[in-house]
Amino acid sequence: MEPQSIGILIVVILLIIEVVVMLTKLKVDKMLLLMPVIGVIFAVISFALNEYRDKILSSLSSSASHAVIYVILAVGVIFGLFSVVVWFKGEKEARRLSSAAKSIDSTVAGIESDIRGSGMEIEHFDDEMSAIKTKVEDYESKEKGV
Amino acid sequence: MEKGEDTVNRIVIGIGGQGGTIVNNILRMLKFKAGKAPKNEEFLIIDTDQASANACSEVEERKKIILSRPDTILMKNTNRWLPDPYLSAAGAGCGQHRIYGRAMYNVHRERIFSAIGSAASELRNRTGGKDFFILMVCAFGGGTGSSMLLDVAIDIRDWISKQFGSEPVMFGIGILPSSKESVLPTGNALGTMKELHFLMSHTEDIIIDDKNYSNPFKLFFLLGRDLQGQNRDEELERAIPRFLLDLGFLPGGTVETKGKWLDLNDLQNRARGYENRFDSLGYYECVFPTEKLFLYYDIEDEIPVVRQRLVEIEAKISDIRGKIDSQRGELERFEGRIKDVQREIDSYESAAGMFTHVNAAATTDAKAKLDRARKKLSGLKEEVFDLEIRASDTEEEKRLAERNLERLEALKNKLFREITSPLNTRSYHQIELSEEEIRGLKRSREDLKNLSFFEIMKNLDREEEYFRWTHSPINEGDVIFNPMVNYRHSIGNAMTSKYIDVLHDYGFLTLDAQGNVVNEEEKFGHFIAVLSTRADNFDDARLGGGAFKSMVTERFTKDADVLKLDTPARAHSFAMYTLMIGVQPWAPGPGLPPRLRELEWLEKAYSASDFSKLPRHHSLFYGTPKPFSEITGVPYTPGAEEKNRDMVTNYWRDYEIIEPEAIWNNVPVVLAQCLKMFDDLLTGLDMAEDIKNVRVPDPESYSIANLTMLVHGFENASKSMEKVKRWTKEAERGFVLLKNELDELIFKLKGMERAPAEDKAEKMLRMIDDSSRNMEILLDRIEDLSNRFSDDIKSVIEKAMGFLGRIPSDETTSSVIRHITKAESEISKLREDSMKAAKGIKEMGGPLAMMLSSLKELKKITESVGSEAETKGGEGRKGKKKGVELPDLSLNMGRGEEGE
Repeated sequence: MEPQSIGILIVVILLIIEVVVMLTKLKVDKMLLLMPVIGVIFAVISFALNEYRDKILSSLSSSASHAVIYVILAVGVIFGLFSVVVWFKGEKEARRLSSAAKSIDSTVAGIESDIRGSGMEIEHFDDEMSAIKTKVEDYESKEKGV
Repeated sequence: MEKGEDTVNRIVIGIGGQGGTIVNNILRMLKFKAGKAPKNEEFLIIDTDQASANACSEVEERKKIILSRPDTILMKNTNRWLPDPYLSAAGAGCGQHRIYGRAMYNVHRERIFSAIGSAASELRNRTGGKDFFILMVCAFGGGTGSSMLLDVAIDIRDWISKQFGSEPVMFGIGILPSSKESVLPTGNALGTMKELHFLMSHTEDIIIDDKNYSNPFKLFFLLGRDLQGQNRDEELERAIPRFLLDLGFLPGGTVETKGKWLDLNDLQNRARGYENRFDSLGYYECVFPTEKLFLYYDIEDEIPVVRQRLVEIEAKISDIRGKIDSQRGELERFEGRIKDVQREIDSYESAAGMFTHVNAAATTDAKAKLDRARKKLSGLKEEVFDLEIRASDTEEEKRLAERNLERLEALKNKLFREITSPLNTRSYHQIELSEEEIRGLKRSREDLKNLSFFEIMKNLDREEEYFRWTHSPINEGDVIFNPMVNYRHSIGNAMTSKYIDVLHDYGFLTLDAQGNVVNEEEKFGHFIAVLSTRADNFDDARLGGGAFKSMVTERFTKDADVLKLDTPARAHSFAMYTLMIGVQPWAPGPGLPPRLRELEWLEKAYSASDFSKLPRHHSLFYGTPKPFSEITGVPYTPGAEEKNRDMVTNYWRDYEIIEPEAIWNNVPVVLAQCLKMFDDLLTGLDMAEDIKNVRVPDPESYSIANLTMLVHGFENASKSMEKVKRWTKEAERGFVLLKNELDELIFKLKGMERAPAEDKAEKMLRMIDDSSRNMEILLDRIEDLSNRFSDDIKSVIEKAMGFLGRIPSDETTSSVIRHITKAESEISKLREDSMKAAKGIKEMGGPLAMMLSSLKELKKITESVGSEAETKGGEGRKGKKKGVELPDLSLNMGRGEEGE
């Protein structure tokens, strides 16, 4: 196998790995998965054309056949890369929304603890003032006794 | 401090509203001092008024004997003798009708007994002791206490004696109404005193129908609500519990022998022979206001702290209010933000296709967070709302706290006023402190606690003042004049000096170096002054107890004692409790005010009730005519309820609170009045005699000067004649009064068995002889003067007319004519008045002659009773003393600590 085919094969394998990763790890939408799959198909076509160039593209000049093969490979690679970009964009948006929700949640929790703190403070003041009242009454009853 | 076990069972019974209140106060003070009521004491109240019984919060509910009013049928069935108008009572309780109280007692007797009996049995079981000390307290003016006191006392004494084989020692405290109270309570008090005195006069057992009618009380203390015209309720409320607790009548738990004095045996011994007299007690206390001062300092220190804290709280509340506002804004902002994020998530989620990617896990998580935040937010909005309300409430609370701070300020100012200008009374003196002293003492407040009263005063350079208020009442004898009733110690205060001179001349009384009356007859039995303070507050040299004793025994009492108690708890007070045993409330003589001033208004109110209204003031012996008849000798008719009731009322109406021996003391007083009247009469007769000595000039020696002299002479004679006329009328009235007093006295003396002492009888006979002789002289002079008075005046008038008739006609100027007219008018007036005066002088002879015969009768009685008494060999008080057996109630409390 000529080195050019090996290169294309590596691209094919990379695209297959991308599909597998997107399917298994990133759990992307099936529609989005079509794109790397298409990329793999284009890369496989490019590989097949390269292997059977003499038979299939014999009518074309050597440079023209190479151009066809590379164009098809480039389209496959573009599909693969585009799907990654789409995924990345979607993930970025999800993270933004998630962090916004988290920040709202934690801020509200902060307000809650502030309110509770104020409530406790008020409770403490009430206690203090009722202690003042008790103290005054205590003094008054002591005054009656002296 | 030494402690010992006291097994004398004590029962304190408060009867009626005021009795209950006093018992409640005692119990409160006892609990305050000892934490709880001791095991050998029971406190009971008997009341007919639910409301006043409910007010006694310290008394256990099961120890409250509340008697409800029965219906009229039950009342009549139980009390056949009860008149219809008294079958029910107006107002609360017994409606201040003693007769109704008696009927109530009869209805509820069994219930009262079972309650008191079970209390006594419980005590007996708890302590194992068989000796009982019973203290009964009531007001004499009400309906319940005053009516039930005597019946309860007699019945309880008998019940305990039979049940436990030992007669209880019973003391009583009776509160007399003030002069400002209405006729009903005031009259009730005299009714109660009469009945109580009647019982007290019977010191030996009188058992009729299995009931002993002898005096149940060893001592009966009278206290007044009105001292020197001022209401003293507050002092009574303070004095009675302190007196009982501090002296040890009520020990208050395990007996603390130190700092208490009470020897029931000693008291009973002192009361011997005076059981038929009343007693009183006095209370005086001088205090350094340490407690007030400490309280003042505490408040003074507290106020800035509280004020500072309130300022801080105010700032914090306003801070919280700001926070609440910003939090509310934030919550609203976040509400919007949640909506935005939610929208974004929704739109993120809704995107689908080949060119989009949605992270479902992340969105689910974000949605969950948003949801939680939303829920929290709605909860927080409510919390913020609540918080706002609470902040408002707290602000209101703060305003209240500010008002409390103002109260504290007011309290501080009040204490300051009380410390700098205390409202002192006769029985309570608080040392007055200046502002500077208050500041100075604050610096050494910790030392103040340990210093004694004396040391504090010494540090303030006020030693002399300390002794003036603490030791001087003893060494100058002021404490004797501080009983809690209005009592006149000396006859000298009520009699004119002339009487005193006469009595002094005949040796009935003596005068000391200061001219004070010293009269053995009016001395009461015992005077015990108990001084209670920390030991280092005493200065024996300044106290002069010995000198006090001799001064008091010389003038006021037969026996005196000053006891000093080392009371560590009284570091800053100097209390003096006094017991006056055997006081004589009655008047020292006819026409004189009683020694116990309360009797003045009690008698006045009592006499305002006519016979039909008198039963409301009485209680004892209604419905029990048999014992009444056997004791008094007044016959009764069995079954004639109304008649018997009226017989009892009649007896009480005529009953006098006086002991028979004291009636003999009236004799010299009446005779002194006779002798004084003799002197007055002689002066009057001399004045009448003098009228005839008008100088009439010789008719031959007319001059305008002589005419003027004649006119002046007749003017003076006319004035003298007026006086003689007035005097004859007054003298006659005085004689009639004196004659009535004398006859009344003779009537009382006729029933007397006991004679005065031999030397006293001799003095009396001498007085009677002198009075009789004077009367005879007076009668002769009156007869002589009345026979010639008109003639004497007539001859003077004739001489004057002769002078006027010889005035030469050429001398009759207008001025002379005016003089002649004046002289003639005076002469005609004199002629007219002389007839009346002569008649008046003559009429004086009648009562005088009757008085003379009364004096002779008095002489006969004095002589005959004296000889009878000689044959009886001096029976009397001494004999009675032998008959009284005293239960031994020694508390074994270490006499060495009882003072001197």
